[in-house]
Amino acid sequence: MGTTDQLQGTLDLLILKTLAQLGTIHGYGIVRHIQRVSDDLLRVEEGSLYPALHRIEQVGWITSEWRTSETKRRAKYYSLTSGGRKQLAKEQANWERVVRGVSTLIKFA
Amino acid sequence: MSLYNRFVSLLRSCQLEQDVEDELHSHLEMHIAENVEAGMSEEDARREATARFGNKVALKENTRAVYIVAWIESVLQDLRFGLRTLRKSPSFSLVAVATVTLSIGISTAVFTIVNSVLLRHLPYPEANRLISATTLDPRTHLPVTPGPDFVAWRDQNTTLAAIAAYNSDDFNFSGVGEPARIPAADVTAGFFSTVGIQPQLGRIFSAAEEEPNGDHVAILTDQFWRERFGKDPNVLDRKMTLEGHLFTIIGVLPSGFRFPDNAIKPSILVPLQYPLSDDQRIIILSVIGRLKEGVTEQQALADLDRISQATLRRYPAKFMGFLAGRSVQITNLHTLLVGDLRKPLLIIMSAVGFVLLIGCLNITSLQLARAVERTPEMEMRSALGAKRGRLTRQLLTENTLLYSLGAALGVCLAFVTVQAVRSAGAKIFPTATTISIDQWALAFAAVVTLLCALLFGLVPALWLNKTRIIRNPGEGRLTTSRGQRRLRKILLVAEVSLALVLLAAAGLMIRSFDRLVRVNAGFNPSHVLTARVTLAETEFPKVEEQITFFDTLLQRVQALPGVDSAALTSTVPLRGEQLMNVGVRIEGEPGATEPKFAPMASLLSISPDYFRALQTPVIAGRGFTDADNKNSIPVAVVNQAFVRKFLHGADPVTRRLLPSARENSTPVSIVGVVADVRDGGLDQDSSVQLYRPYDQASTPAAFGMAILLRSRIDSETLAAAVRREVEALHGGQPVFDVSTMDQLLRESLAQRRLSMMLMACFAGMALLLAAVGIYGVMSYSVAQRSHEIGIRIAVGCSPGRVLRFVLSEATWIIVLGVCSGLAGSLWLTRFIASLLYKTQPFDPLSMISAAVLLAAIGLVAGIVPAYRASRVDPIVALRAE
Repeated sequence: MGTTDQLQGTLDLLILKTLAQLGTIHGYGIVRHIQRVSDDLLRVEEGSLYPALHRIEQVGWITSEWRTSETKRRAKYYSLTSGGRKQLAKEQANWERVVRGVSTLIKFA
Repeated sequence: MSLYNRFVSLLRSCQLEQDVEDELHSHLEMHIAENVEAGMSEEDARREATARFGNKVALKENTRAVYIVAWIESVLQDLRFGLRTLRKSPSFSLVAVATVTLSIGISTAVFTIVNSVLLRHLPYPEANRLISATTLDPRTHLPVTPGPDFVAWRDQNTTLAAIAAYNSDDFNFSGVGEPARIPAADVTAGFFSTVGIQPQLGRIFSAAEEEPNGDHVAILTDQFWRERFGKDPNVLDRKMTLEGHLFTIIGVLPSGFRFPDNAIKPSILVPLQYPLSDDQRIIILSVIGRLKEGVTEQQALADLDRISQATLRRYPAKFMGFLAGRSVQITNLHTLLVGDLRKPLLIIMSAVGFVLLIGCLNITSLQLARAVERTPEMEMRSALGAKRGRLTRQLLTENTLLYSLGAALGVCLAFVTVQAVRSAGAKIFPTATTISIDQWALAFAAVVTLLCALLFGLVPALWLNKTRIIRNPGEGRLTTSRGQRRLRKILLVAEVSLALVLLAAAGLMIRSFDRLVRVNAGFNPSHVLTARVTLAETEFPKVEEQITFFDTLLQRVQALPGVDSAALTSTVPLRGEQLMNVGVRIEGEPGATEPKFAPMASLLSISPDYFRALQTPVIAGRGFTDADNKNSIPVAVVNQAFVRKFLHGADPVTRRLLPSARENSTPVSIVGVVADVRDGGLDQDSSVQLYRPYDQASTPAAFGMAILLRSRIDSETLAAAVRREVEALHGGQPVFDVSTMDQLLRESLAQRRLSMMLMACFAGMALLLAAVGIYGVMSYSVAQRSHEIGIRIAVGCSPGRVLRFVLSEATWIIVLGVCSGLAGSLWLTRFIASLLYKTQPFDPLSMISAAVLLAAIGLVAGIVPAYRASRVDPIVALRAE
């Protein structure tokens, strides 16, 4: 994935959606989830994921804490905040609008 | 992550890096674990995972960059928002910025002065190693270092890297422009290495030039070079005439050179050409030295003391009286040159600190009052997702912005003030011309601004976080909680107390100054002109010739139109001139045995009309007349201090005294007693004075005589007339030190007057700020309680009662403030006791007047909002906001 604004926004959307679905998970889990659910179509690189995670955390849509996983490993777990939930709804609506617009345009071409 | 965590992680970037490192590491481990589960070998699993991971370093960098960018962005956002908020409430912003400007401006100006005068190093290299050394005369404790002691110190010391001696001197200068009398210093050749300066042109004195028969050479100061020689680059080897001798100029000192003695401001330096080791005609010197690396003052003191003790034996027996039992004293040069001013300057600095504090308290209480109004805004922002920490930070930013704006303006104000002080203060302290705003003053301003902004900004910010707002049900109208009101009151009480302390201090200083000015000086300084004339030895080698000159001069200036009385004197009062001291024995008094240990009196040689010219009353007997000359019996007049000291109040007239240490000196008859003349300044007791007619003087008037003229003619015209007369009598003798006694009196009071006015100024500022504070907070209070007030009026409360009700709040604050202020003054004013003249620090009149003044102003400040409250229209007030 690249780093343009739209794509960055899209990555944010994926992260937020993942957290909404999974509740609390660590960074690696997010990567795996996106890969699995998109049938391997979308692969998030760690180089993009972690800056994005930290940026979203700055803004306040997610929070983090260090926990021990079931496999007795320490990892940083992320979860959505209420602000994040609102943002997710906004982003989702936005995305759907974009998709509709693009599809309509393509059909007309 | 909360604000705290973010700040912490920013500051401790290694912590952040560790955090990120840990997270990435755990990610990698999990990936590897999954690979292994999927069947890869440990090695392959690790390799694949790591390859997929990409560039770890870049990853960390990117992650870290996110933090910084986000942080900068949010700070910028806070600044923009802060500016907007300040613009929206212009009256608050104006008052607050003005308060900060005043406080920071004045503090910076005062700090600059204190720093320049007190703390800045002397303009010599390694100035902390410079010392002044002297031996103290055992009877008078005056610093007198005899020539042979200096020579012994110079040759035998082990603790000093360099040592030098100097004397002050004046010369009749001619040959370049108008003749004048210029101050000079005679220095030994070691002077330059001791002080550590190099001339900007030419060279320093050589050892040969220090010999008694050495060449006549001189070194100019930069200022003299500029004024008299127009900065001529070819000034070296030019000649000038001093005291009738031709001198060659061999060097020019660097600009900004300051002679290491407050009493001497030389225009030129000449070599001290005197046989220093001569122990028959001993020369008295001032000595400075430079300590060797690592040597302490104690060690130098022991060293020089040892040498002095050994040297004592070399003196002839006749001087033993003066020299036996003397001690050596070493003073750090810095302390000597600026020590005098330390206390007053520190007191002024503290006073300014008070004003600054009051200003900050003002702004804080205003902000607290304002914070209540901003609560809906805060709540809305909080609901939109802003964290509490973020809000706090935004408030702090806004506060810092306010203080920074004020501080920037304040520095400009400080600049202007410092310029003014520089020009006005040149007379009072010697380094006034070097005062300027430098990096230290700016650093001070910056630090103080930041501290105040953060400290005083925290109060409203923290309050917003903690206190709950009480809402009037169903209205959305906010009233302040009791906690907040109490906090504001406490702040105001503190302000009022501080203002009272300053007012009390100012009151004390005003009273002290008033007392001082009323002191009976023993003479009438109005309409008296003084001027000094010194005759060159080359032109008037004999004492009789000098006396004849002055006789004739006196007659001629007496005859000038408009002159009421004219007189001559060897010493002019209030000029700080060196008095000639002699040992005196009274005939018939016990203890008149050892002439060497005779107690001292100051000797003045005067003409008969001296007391008339100064209007000093003659208390007993008579003054001098023309009949008292060198052909009549020797007479003297003494002052009251003399009578107290030598005769213990007995009638001195017709007693006789022996005015010198010589065994067989002619006894002198005392013919009169005059009132004490406060010659050293109004705040100092008069010295013990012995007057003799100048033409009965046995020693030549080495420093010439001063003319005193009482006349109603303006001083300029009169001075010109005197100059003409002197010129007519014998050309080329400069007339100098011309001033009126009034001027001298004013100058002697200048430092005290300045301190008093500064303190009064600060007290005035404090009063103003306190009044503004009371007014501001009361206005807010009334505005916020207008609902409550409306109800009161609606149920029948009269406007008068409303006024009293609102005013009572202000009254309480004032009363509490004044009481605690009085308590504070009782404790603090003792520190200014050293600045006061015959005034106790617990002077009740000053305290009470300060309290009354403050209370009155405070009430006036409170009345306006109270009046507004009484005028509140209940219908308007009760309407929902």
